[in-house]
Amino acid sequence: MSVAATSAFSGRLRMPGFWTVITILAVLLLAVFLLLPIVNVLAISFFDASTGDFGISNYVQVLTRRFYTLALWNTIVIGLMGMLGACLIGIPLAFCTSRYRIRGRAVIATFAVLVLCAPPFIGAYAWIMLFGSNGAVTNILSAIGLPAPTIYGIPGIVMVFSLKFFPYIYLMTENALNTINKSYEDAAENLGCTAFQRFYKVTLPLIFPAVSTGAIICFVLSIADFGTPAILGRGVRTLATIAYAQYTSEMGGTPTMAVTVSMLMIAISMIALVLQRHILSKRRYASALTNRPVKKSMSPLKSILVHGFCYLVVFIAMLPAFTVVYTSFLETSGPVFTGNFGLGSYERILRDSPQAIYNSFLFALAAVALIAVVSGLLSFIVVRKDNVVSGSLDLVLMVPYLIPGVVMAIGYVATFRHPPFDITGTALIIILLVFIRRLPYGVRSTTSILRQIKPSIEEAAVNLGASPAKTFMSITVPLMMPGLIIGSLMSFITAINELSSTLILYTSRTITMPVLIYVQVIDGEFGTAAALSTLLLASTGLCVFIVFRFSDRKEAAFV
Amino acid sequence: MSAVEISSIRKSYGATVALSDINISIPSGSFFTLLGPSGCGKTTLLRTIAGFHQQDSGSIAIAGHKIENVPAHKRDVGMVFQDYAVFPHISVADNIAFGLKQRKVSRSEIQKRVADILDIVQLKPYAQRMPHELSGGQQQRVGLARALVINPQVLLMDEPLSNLDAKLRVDLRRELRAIQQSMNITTVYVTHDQEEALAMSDFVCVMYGGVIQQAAAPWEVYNSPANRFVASFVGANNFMALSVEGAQPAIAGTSVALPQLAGLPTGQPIVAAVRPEFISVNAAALSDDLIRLPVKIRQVSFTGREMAVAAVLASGEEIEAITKPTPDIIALHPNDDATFAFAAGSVQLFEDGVTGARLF
Repeated sequence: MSVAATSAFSGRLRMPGFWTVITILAVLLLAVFLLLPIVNVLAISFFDASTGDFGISNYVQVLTRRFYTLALWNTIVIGLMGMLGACLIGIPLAFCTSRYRIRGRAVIATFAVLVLCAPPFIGAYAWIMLFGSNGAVTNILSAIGLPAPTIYGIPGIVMVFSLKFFPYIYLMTENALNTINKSYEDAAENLGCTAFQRFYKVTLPLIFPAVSTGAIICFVLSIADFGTPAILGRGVRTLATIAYAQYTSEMGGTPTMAVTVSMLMIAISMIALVLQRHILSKRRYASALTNRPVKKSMSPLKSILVHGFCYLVVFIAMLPAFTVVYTSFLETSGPVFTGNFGLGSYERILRDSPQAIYNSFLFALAAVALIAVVSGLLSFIVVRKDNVVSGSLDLVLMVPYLIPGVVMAIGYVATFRHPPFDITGTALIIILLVFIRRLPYGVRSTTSILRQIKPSIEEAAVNLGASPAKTFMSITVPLMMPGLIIGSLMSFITAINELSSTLILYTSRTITMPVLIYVQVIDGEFGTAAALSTLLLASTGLCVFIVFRFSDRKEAAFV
Repeated sequence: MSAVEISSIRKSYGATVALSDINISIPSGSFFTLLGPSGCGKTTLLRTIAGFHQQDSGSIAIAGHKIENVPAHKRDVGMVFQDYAVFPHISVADNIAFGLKQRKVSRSEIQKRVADILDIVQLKPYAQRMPHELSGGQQQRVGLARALVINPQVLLMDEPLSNLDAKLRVDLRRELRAIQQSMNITTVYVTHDQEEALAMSDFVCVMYGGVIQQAAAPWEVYNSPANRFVASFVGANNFMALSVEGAQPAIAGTSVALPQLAGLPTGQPIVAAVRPEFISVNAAALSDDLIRLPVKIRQVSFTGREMAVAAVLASGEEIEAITKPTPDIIALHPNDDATFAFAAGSVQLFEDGVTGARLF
């Protein structure tokens, strides 16, 4: 063939490929809607609150003034105690259900998942209804002359966090215990270990990676949680409540101190995460699951004790949910329960706040639709492409887990308030924020299913003449569908329960159910709050049910 | 004109050279096999032809048209995958029609061509089945039909039989070759199974370390290996150090007369190679030009058609003979003394080293 023809053929311009375009769009999307707001928040914290000078004066203030240091101390104590409490409940429960034959293990796992998915602050106010100054249990106890334990302050917050976050520890530990090769424990026994030594010296170290991952999640969520200390705190301030209070009181001005406090929260979360990664990096266990652990049957007495423990734990953890559902069917007169049953609260929420219900579903569905599309494309880049972007995507997608909702919301307001991109006060800003905050759930789900699809299937389609875009649509997406559905449901659950960020962004037109519940709880309107919470619980429960039907990993899909 | 012309293709991953200056010319209608151990670059080369890897430099032409910069989905080469890669969510017929739909072939034409190819791969009754209802062998027939139905310029096959069990592999091997010959389609086939390569191919191209070691007809590759690597990878072989110090060359301390040595440069290590089937065990001394080496028997294994007799030379080097089973040989025990004999003419000489050049 002639030289001229050759150069004409190979020298032609090539259009950038489909995936190059998508990768560039993904980088832009994450840069603008995830990293830019965070950078803006970070920048705010370096300009002095009163003088506007650049420097670290805000941080000096936060780390020296007693108002802040006390809150810092409270936050760390609550975070550590909440984590410890969750471990003390979660690990024994996991041990019982994985090593003994428990009747109704599915019920226990389902309850644990429901606790995990329930709106975050339901626990706090349900406990107030039971053990608060005028709570049902408090009144019963005082009627028979017994002092009721106080639910307010640090002990109450720690108890709520322990009961709220233990499912992370429980589900992760149980999964780890179920996948330990039994031969290790047999070998320890054969070498002369007692049952306790065997657990302490062999089993516990082997499940440490799973336990510590669950514990770190509990810690990060405990220090970031805003609703529980706000409702139960009674003068005990944490960094999260200060950040919110400072932000709302500085409305219109620059929320400098709120942001500085938030940065401190992120720093604590990151230190905890790095510490855990560092410890884990020295513990990598390779193991083949050739000898599955067996579940032992128990003597009648032991069986009663173990069953009693398991059911008591999940019953107490579910108590807030039961209370909320029960309360929603009580008639109220203003903030007072009349003692009769009825659907008055439901009539009222349908009459007074259809907007919040409509908004909640609309925002969550819109965010989930975005998550489904973007996570499908992102996971393809993460799994199939081998470049700088795909390598760093994994890391960047960790960020939303670490950044509290309050911080992201402040960052969004600071970033998107300049015309022509002023979207503050719109539904769009809430949808975008919820989308970016819950995107990792979707990506994690689609990534894990895409790793199971052989690349050769896509190569076959390309080889037969389908363009990369066509291949993705006609081959990859149908095969990814189960993962997409599960990921969407999981993000829907977290999206519809979102409070900490929407609380800062909402207006009367964009109010959502969790925000309305929070406002009503603060106002003492427990009846309608319970009805709205029941609605949230029901939608969440429905999603959990569908995930259980679709996913072969069942409850493990939730952690 | 050659159907496929590969010129100066290079490909590296960081410091690792996957393909180093590959030049191949494949005649139209031939069955061309890339053979080598894992990591030799054979699959990389095949995937570069398919367009799944971008070469660092060099060119690939199919039927005279350069395609090295054409996107994979426009190359018009059919590919059959090791793991079948049959689309699991659509039926057998839809799998086969997939490429035709991309080519905007009319509906009636698609029906006719799918039916024809289903006939050829003997899957007619399975047209409406879903892939998970088929066995591995049947799925690979779908993979083959799907690649053939688009009438590609070249058919690429990446170890298509290696996921199948041994008996099926041999059956499907024959069938594949028959279909290839009847359709007269130029085929590039990748395998690490040297027996498969020898049995199916018009040409075998042995690769190692990203470099082509030898490309020739199966007979030639087996009988005149270009270097020590080819001699050891294709078929079984015995390698023995040849000492050329002093007047008389020797193997394991036994002097040998090797006319081949005449004229070879001295002073470098030389390795002598003899195929096991050329060695006779305890043969009567009928002729003088047989080289006879005393050995100690290690293991005697009977495989039905033949005997494999493993032994050690005085130097500690291992040597194996494959012979017809006779009562004398079956009666041998480990640690028995024996004599291995072979004709001087059956000895090939190589330079030392994995890819040591053929000296004679």
